[in-house]
Amino acid sequence: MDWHDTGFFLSAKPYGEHAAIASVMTKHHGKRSGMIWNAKSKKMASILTEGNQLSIVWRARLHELLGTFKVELEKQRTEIVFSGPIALNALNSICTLLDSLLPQFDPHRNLYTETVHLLDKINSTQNWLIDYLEWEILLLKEIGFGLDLKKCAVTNSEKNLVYISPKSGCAVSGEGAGEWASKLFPLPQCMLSGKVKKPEEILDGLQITGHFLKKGFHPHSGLPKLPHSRLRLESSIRKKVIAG
Amino acid sequence: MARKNEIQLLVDQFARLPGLGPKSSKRIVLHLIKNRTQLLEPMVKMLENFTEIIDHCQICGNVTLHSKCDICSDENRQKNVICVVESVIDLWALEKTEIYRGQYHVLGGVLSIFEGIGPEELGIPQLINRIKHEAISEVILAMNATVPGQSTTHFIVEQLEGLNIKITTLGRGIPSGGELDYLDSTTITSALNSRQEY
Repeated sequence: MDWHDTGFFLSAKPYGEHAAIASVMTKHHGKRSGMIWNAKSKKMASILTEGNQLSIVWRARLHELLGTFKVELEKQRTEIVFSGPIALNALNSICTLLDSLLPQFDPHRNLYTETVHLLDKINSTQNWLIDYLEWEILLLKEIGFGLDLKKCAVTNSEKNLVYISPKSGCAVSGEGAGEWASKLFPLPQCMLSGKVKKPEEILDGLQITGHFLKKGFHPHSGLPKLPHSRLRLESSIRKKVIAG
Repeated sequence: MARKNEIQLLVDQFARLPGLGPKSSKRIVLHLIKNRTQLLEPMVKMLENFTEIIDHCQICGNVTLHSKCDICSDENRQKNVICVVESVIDLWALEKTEIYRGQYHVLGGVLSIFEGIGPEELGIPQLINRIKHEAISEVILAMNATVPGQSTTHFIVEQLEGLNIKITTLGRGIPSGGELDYLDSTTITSALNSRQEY
């Protein structure tokens, strides 16, 4: 059995002296793992960099087997690696979250397209923080913890949505919150409009998505907290916001 | 029969070394047997000595036969500059140039979530402690140009904030013998940005 697809590199775990078990996010086959026999060669080391776009050929005797990858470089995204801690932490966070939260063999076409778009935006050093936040919202939707920010969960109103419930992930209006307001997350308006007025809004948004991403981590890995790369992204953005 | 098994065990031991497979190991073992006095005996003696005394330098993490390595013991080297490297092999590569005459700090790897390597495993707290207690004026972060290497660089920079020392990293550009046509755009951009007057 074999297939040919395009995708980007997520991670590799060393296997023996020369090989590695690589994880890639493909356009048509979702997240997949496979063996790369010459992964430690100098040529492959530069190709197998997180975020790099690859042409992938997977081969195995049966569909369920791990199989082997033959990869060729389609596009390098090395600018991310050298353009500062925030971009690098974002790259690490994207790859770790996808690698940890997505199941194998499950195509996520929309998530794939949006991730490629986000990676290209980070690589071109444009302003991408709001895109990252929107990407996390999409990731939550894809893993089954989608936020409902269209209308108030209490009043059904589409106006004055200023809170989000930490339990259901539904938006709540000022009127609907009532005495529960102190127990709800304030909803940053950038999560509704996609436009950032203050950089603090991004941080507030990341705290909300982080809260729900934890739910995704808990049942699978037993880890009640977010991966280090995601926490480091939040702290590097916080430093930038404080520094102005 | 027992003799054959012992030889096979030795072949297996050699095959565990990096870069060697079962066939190369067999050839090495047979070559050592053939050259017993010239190769095997001195090698056994040397390895026995090494097993007893080889250690990591208590200061920088370099491999040494003493508690302090030759670089840390050398009084003629600059004491106020530390070059942080990922592994001993990187230290050897820098030493081969004979340009750098400062101190080193060997991390022994890079931060890696998947391999479970955190700051404690890498001895980053020891590095920070060393910088705080020795009169260090510059730290050169000579990590590899990879995602884990650069993540480790940023992590160390964060830890060094507020210590009022100069932090530098290695320059990036065209390697000698490199052709522009084969280089990636990031390397060419770095080379252009750090161009020098002819």
